[in-house]
Amino acid sequence: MIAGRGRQRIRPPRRSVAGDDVDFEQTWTKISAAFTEIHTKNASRLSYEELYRLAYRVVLKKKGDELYKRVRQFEHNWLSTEVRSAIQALFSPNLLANTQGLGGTTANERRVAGERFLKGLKQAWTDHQVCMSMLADVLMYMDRVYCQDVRRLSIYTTAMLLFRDDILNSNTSEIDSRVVLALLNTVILDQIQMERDGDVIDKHLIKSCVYMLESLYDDEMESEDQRLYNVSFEHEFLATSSEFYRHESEFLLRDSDAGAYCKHASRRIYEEDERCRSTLAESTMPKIRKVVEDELIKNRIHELVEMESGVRFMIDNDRLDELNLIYDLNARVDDRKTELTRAIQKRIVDMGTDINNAAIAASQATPAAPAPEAGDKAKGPNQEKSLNQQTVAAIKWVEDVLQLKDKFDHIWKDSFQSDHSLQTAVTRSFADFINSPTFPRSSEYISLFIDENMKKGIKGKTEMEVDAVLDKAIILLRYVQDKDLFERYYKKHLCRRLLMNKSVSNEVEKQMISKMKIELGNNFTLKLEAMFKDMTISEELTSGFKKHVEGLGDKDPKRIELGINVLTSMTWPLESMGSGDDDENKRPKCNFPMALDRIKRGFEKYYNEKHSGRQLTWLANMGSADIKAVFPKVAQKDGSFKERRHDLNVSTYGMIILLLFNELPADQYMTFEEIHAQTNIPRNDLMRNLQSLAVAPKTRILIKEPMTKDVKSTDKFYFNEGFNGKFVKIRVGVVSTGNKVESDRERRETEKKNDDSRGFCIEAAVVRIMKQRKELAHQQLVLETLNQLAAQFKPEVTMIKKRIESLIEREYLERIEGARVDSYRYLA
Amino acid sequence: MSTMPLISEAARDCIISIEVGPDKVKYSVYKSVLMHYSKYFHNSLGGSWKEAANNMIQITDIDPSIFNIFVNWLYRQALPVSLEDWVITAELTKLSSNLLPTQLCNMLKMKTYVFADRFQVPALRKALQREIASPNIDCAPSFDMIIYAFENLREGDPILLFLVDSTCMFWNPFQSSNEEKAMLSRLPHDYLAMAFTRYGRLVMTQWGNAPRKLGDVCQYHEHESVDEKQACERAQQGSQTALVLTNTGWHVCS
Repeated sequence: MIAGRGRQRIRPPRRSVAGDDVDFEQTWTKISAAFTEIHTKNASRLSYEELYRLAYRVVLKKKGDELYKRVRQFEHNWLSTEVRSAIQALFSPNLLANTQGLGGTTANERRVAGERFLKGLKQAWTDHQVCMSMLADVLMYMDRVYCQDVRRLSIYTTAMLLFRDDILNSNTSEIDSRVVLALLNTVILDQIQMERDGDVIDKHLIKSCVYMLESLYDDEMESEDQRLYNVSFEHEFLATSSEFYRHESEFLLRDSDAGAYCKHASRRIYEEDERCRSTLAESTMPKIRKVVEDELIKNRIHELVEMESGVRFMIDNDRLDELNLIYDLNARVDDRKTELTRAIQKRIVDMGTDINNAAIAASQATPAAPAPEAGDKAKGPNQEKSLNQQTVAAIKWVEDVLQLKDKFDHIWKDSFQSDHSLQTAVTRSFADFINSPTFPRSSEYISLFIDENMKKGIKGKTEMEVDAVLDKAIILLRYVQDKDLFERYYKKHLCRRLLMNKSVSNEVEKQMISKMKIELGNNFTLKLEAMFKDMTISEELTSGFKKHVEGLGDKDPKRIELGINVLTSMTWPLESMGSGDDDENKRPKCNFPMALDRIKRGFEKYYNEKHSGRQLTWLANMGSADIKAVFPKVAQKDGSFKERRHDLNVSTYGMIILLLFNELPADQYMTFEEIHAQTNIPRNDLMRNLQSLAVAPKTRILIKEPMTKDVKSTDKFYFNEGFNGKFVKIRVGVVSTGNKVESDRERRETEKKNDDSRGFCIEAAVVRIMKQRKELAHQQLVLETLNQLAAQFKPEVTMIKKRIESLIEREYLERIEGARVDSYRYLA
Repeated sequence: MSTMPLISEAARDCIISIEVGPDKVKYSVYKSVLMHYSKYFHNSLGGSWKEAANNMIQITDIDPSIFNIFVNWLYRQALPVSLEDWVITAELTKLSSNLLPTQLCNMLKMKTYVFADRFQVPALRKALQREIASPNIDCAPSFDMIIYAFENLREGDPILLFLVDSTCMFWNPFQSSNEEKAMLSRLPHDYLAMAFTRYGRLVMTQWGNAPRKLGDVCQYHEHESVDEKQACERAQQGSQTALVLTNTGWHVCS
């Protein structure tokens, strides 16, 4: 710059410039000759020291750049001449024809041609890797010094990229513009398709080619998703697989049943997983799985579930394995298993509704069923019979539901891997049909079922079996929404069992109560437990009174023994024990015969000494009596002529009626009206008692005139002197003493009572809430009320509204004037 | 490098013959130890080369004395400590060289460093870097060593920078021998370029961007008489405080 600007450039003195140049060319000649030897697999004659020294010297002389370029050029030449022609020699006409989609080749021919190509390519790749690692060893100093300093890719990496560019991305031939890589993809995909069709292929060979694609990258960044495998092969693999499985699923849905489809689908999923492991790359596994799941399951699950041989068929035929498969498939694509859940729920509700309908049909069909032979019989027994049938239907309903529950429990455990969400769904469906508005009887039926089992069902059963039965009942109870209605029925049924000594085991009764306590809480069983308590106290009272009477004086052989049950009126559903005709307030007071009246007063005195201030009301309609009866010697039909003694077990009313005839000569009669006048037994009860004493053939202790089924107020009654029973002990049953399904009228009453008590519950809840909150919006009040009562029943919103209205009228609450939303204020 | 291989284990393995130097001095070294510490030997003996096939390596352009130091380091994993140690380990006699002991020793270290660089022995290379560029250095390296290092190490090797820096710091032109002065012309161009850059940098770090000024510019003027010089100096008066370059170095003038 100082001297002669622009005229002459001063070049830095380079020492022995010419000498170095000559040196490099000579060196390169030696190196390149050695590289050729390496590529032709003659390396064992070469000295590593010599080659390394040559390269080392060149780099020290700052010719690294030149050396790098020459090596790259050398490899480029080698690949695009020697290697490429070797690869092109592998393209048989078969191979090219196939990949162009031309027919006319058999699978076997294609497989052989494909394998030859894969083998050749794999060989070329392996050779290239081996040679390049040797070259890289020789050029190690260059890699370390030159490539690192100027941030070049290592010579090995560069050479791998050359393989990509000069071999994989080269045209298959001069006339064919497709590149080798595309051909490779097609061949591998073709092989995979062959395997899917059942052929055996060389997995190992394909795997080596996949390794090649995995170690080459499309760009220079070498990021994972830029591997040739991902960029080129995997993409095509997923696309063709998607296509393939779309067709396959279409075909399968058309030509096979759901079970076979499921088996096939899970086999395919397994196969593809295996393929990724053995033939392709594990990284593809989730992707191909998604493809298969989408095509075979997600897009088809609805059709599959709804098929004729679908979920419904599997349930009905207990195809547990297939259900398990379908569960597994559905779970793969949908955490919530929507389709399966929907199908299961629908099936449960359908089957449950069938059971409901069958129960309704059974209970309605009965009046017609007992057939014409009952034609001349009175209406009473007919109705009784129908009620009996209904009871049977009720018990059948419970058993059917339990069976259904068992079935689905079984499926749930064996096929659905005890899946939590499905359990919830199953439970909801059971609750759905059990609480169906078209079937309001479940509470009653369940209580009846328990009743039946308490009375006879558990006889001769082991503790375990009894436990199982009780548990079943509890399970059903769990589904019932209106727990209060159930409580009402249970109380009623329990009441009868206790008072009439129908229960087989007190122990089991108590067990049941404690089970309910666990299931439904303390509140629920409080009153039931009080009933048991009353019973215990009554036993004590009875024995105490007996002792008291014995202490009074001489033993009177004619003394009447009194067994008494003192029932707390709030606890016991006494109204349901009555015949239902009478107004609750004027409980029937019948006239007791003198002997009875005395003992009655005796007990009242005894009881008042113990508990003063309590009022006892005698419920004659619920008692029973044992009477020793003597029938005089009159001629029998069979000609015998002797006195007969019977122990009669009759209702209290029956006893009162019979006692009337004690004082009446045998040939005299009493009319219905007379009996009614003397006893003051309610007409209805009287009619029924007379019916069992005078109409039922086996217990015809009275004779009625005229002999008809019905008891009319004009009928006359005589004592049947000629009565002859087959047994000494005779039980005179009064109709409708057992627990049976309610008649429609009774049910309406029960429901009305239930609604009334619900009304109180709702009011109590509302007041509790308002007392705490002072002011609350309508919507929220309703919501909280529903929450509070959820354990007992689900009240209707209109009912809540009515109760709120009523509370406002009675000035417990007031509306807040001018509030933005309807709100109430609590008035203390 | 991972942990050192057990010698007992290596002793059960193969032994490699290495012929070193123009006179082909023969060494027998455990193969596995060689391969463990040196990538060069690893490639050479691990590949399909002639060396691996024959278990024999010829290295003609290495001084056996340097190879002695290498083999000793290989088995002992330690460099000689004292000057004498270095000479003894290299199996040299003081008489065999006309260099001062310090210079001889430094030269051995440098040659061994070049060896470690060429044959890719990272552990040895590191050890020598610490040995050569030690904080105790208090004199400039010999020109011999500088010439050798710049011929045999790659551009950018940190040791080259060390040589430049230590010369800049410690070389005293007033005490240099005639021999040394004669060698100045042989100093490698790369070295001089680096020294020049380094010098500029030193100035910059010392003074930053403070205003500088050449000192007695009259020394460049070839004044023929004292009067002329004085006249020139008067003409220069009024100059401000500046850094002044004298014959002996930088001084601050006011």
